[in-house]
Amino acid sequence: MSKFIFIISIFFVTSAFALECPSKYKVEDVAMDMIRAELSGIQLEEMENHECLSQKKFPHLLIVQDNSNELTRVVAGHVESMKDVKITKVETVDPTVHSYKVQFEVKYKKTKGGKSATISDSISFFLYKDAPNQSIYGCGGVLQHPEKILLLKNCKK
Amino acid sequence: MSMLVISCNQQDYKPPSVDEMIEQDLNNADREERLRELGENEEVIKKMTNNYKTLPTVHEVTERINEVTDPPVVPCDPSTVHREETITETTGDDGSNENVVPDVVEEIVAVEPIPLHPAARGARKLLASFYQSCKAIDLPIEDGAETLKGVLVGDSIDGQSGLQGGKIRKITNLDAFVDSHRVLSELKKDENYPGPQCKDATKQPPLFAYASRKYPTRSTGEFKIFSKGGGITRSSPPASGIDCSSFVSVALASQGLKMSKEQTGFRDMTTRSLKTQAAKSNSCIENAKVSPNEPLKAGDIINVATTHTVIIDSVGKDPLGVEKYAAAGNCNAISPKDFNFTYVHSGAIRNSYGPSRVKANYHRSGVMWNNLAVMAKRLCHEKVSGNNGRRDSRLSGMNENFGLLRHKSEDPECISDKKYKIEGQQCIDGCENTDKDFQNV
Repeated sequence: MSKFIFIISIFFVTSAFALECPSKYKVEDVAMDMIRAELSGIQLEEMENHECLSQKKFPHLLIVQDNSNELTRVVAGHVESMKDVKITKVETVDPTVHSYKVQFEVKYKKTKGGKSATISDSISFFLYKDAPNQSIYGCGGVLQHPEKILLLKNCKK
Repeated sequence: MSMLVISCNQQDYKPPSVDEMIEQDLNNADREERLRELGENEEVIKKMTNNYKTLPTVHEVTERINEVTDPPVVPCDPSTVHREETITETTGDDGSNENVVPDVVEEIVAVEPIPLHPAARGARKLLASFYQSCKAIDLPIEDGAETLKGVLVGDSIDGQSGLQGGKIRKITNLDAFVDSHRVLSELKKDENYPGPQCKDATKQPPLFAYASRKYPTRSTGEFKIFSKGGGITRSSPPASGIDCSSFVSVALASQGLKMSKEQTGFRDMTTRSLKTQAAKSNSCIENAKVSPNEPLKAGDIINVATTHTVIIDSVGKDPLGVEKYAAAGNCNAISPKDFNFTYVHSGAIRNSYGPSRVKANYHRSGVMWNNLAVMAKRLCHEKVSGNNGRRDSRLSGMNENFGLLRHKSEDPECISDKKYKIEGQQCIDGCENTDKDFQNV
């Protein structure tokens, strides 16, 4: 009984930091969170510890830097806001493991020249469906990052 | 557009309040004993929260819960024994909330050291050579490892830019760097370090270095590893730099492991060329065949083209959690925290460690580890269905750039008589742990 009380009380103390995945969150909502993490620089070494990637800003997704150890990641352009991101297709890759591929379009301004452009890209991920993992990792994990590196304008260094 | 709903299926269960539970408990049991336990709990919470001023991390909470709920640990020497785990309480695998409660029990089995796979042997020898000590293998990076201090990373430092548009690094405070380092801080304390014929790695530490590659010299055919390469500034104190795929290339070459059957001389690989090489007919590396009972082996190379590559050097019991979660009928709950193996690599881990041995369950996320978790989930489902046969490791739902690669070291055409020497190798040639795996994962 006392163990149970401890667990209850410690969960109460930490509830502000534990991740969660809302029960009515759609695949598109998870994808949007993941795209926001991408546009906040999750693949860029120089964005480590940046406010844009603060865990507080991602209550449904564990933020872990995933920069390359081999190839340079070059920022191709900047995005005004998340309103410029539009999901165009949601594909179930493997229902057994709850993996998905989401295609999306982004309006952005090119780093070189500053011209406006729109690109299509995709992100692949899987979902955590059990509460213990959701409290650690949030709603899911990325399997394949988008190809193009774009940054939200307010995340510029 | 699909409108799938992610449902956690949380029940409309309203637990009793803590006050209600305490009251009920105190009425039913020994009041003094309960009050003492509650007092102890309060002390622990006070300590973890700095007297309710800060919030503990999820990791701290998890550790504390495990501490409270786990059965007492039987003291034993971790290098010679391992514990058997069995699942005693399970729920379904339908995507609903699932709680697996592993019950750690009983069986203590002596583990004999086993000879290392040549790829794992090469990785360990290279690692130990960088540090000039066998201890580098016994001190893996694990959960809670400190972030390195005294190192600067930038696009350009002291007027010098990184190679190929990558980052460049400089050690700015050697003492801070060494003191915050998992291996070097221990070597610094060791009166017998450095040994005879050995360099002092606390004065020239290994460091992750973007695009720093190592090649054998024409004169001696030895890999010169004690150099900065282009990923570390000239203005930095001495350091030994290497990137991930160069580390793998040198490790394999040091054991005479060829990339293709007709290869002569050294072949320097990148994460992209490792991927393409595995698909060739004359190749000496292939996409591994895996099974639920043997999802990976020591010596396997985990590779994500364009991103990172590592060599697995030691595999523990149930290395991906397949057995445990299949028994629980709970396959989709497998995550990187369930991994039970170690790998050796050079990576930008914990602010630029570079050459290091790492416990895989240190990782919480990232493309490499998420894809491995998906592979484990797929194998777990196969096991539940009774399909225990071997299959290609490229399973559906995984990133096409991800590969679990295996060297065909049993094929004589894939082994060269020429084993390239590593600079400083004579210092660590007597290390037992570079030839044998003591399975202290």
